[in-house]
Amino acid sequence: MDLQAKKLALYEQHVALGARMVDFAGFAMPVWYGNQGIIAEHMAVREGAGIFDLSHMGEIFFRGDRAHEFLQRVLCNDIRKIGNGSCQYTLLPTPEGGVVDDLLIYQTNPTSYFAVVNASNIAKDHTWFVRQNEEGGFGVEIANRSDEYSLIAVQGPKSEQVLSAAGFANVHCDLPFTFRRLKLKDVRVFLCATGYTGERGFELIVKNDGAAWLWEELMAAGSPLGMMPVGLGARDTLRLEAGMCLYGNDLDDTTSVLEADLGWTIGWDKEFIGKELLLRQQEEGLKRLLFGLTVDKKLGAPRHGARVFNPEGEDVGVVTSGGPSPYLGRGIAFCYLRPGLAEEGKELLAEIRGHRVPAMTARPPFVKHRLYNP
Amino acid sequence: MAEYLYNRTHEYLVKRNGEYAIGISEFAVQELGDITYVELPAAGAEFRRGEAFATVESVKAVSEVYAPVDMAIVSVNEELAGQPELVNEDPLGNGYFVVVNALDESQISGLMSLGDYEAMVKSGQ
Repeated sequence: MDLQAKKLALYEQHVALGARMVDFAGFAMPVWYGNQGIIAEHMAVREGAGIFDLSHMGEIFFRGDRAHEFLQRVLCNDIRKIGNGSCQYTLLPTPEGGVVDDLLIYQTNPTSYFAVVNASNIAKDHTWFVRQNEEGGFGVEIANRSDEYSLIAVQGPKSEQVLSAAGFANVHCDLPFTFRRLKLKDVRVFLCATGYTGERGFELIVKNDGAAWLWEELMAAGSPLGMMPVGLGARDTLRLEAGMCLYGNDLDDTTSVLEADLGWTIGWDKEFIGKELLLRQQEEGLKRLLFGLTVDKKLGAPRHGARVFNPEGEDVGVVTSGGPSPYLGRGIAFCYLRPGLAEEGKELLAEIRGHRVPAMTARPPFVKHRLYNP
Repeated sequence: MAEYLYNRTHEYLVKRNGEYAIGISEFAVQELGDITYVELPAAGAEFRRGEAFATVESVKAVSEVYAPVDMAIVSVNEELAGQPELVNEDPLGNGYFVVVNALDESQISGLMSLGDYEAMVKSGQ
């Protein structure tokens, strides 16, 4: 692997677990572990529990009297929907109709927030926030503290059992998108009921010097429950099954929030950067819409960049994320389609290894989210 | 027991009953991870050395598999259609890809022994 990749706080833990390390956005990260592999790790999360190191993700903090106003201006979702101790999925739209990044914004109180952003976009987001803050004269204190924090996720139906066994008291994730600050032994943890898998679970944000200790505690508590360490490979297959976008694949500087079928995140009752263009797109109609495709297992799986055709042979779209679904046992994909085709059950053709094979449209998520107890 | 001979692009070839079985090396399987799909050629098809004759899909990637010698396909491993994971479980045995006739036996001497192949892999080439 590329030795230029930055080693994060849990690097030694991954190596000891036999991880296959890759360079992801400049960070040395596990893609899967030794004798497990992506499928076993994926199924552990769907059926039991998995633990992820996501320390490459960025943490940017906002503080100031006008922090609320500033974030309402740069983010498309309306943070009036959340309160202290809650977080929200939201995006940073551009005036030109693209997206700088998608992220979670956490409200500590109306003058103090932090965002968890994609690893590949940390510097870009920070620059964007700083620029908008200066141009709007908001005077918000913006601090990129990505290098100080590690992020560990525990995901799957046994997540609460794992955290309880590790010594967390009264933990539950019945209230998705909430968080609290607590101390385990002497280590401060932001315990967030969030995730990127569609399963119940937590994300734990901790200062780097407590990360290895917390990881070991969680591993010791979770291993008897069948919890597995999970690499970025299964993180990708899990989020794809759960119908969640990946910036760089399904979202980028050229895709709009509406095209990505994320209209539900738009706070139409407020002013924000990029709103004008989104309003215009809504009035004029979209040229493309992000939707799903499924392909029979015997035909393989469509991959990023594959073209999609209608039965008449016209090019009607492109796959942005795709691969085999370990849980469903067939090929699944996100693709940008002509809007008229973005409905369930349309028979199309997708390019796989140079052949056009039958594909069926499907509305993501491909695997239903199970955030609440049955 | 016949010796396994290796190609630079991670295929192996081994003599079986006067014909040759071809598959991918244990190292290649470890690199690919969980294999989910194998596309094989039709019996009778001929390939020149270096031509792609099969495609293997893992969860993360799609890779071509190249002919180590000029060859004609005698039969393919039909089991892989339903159980691509055989390649992960037993790459040198039940996870073979195809059985072929070598069209130019002299090319076989150009393949590597296991020791040479392992040295190549270790050197990271």
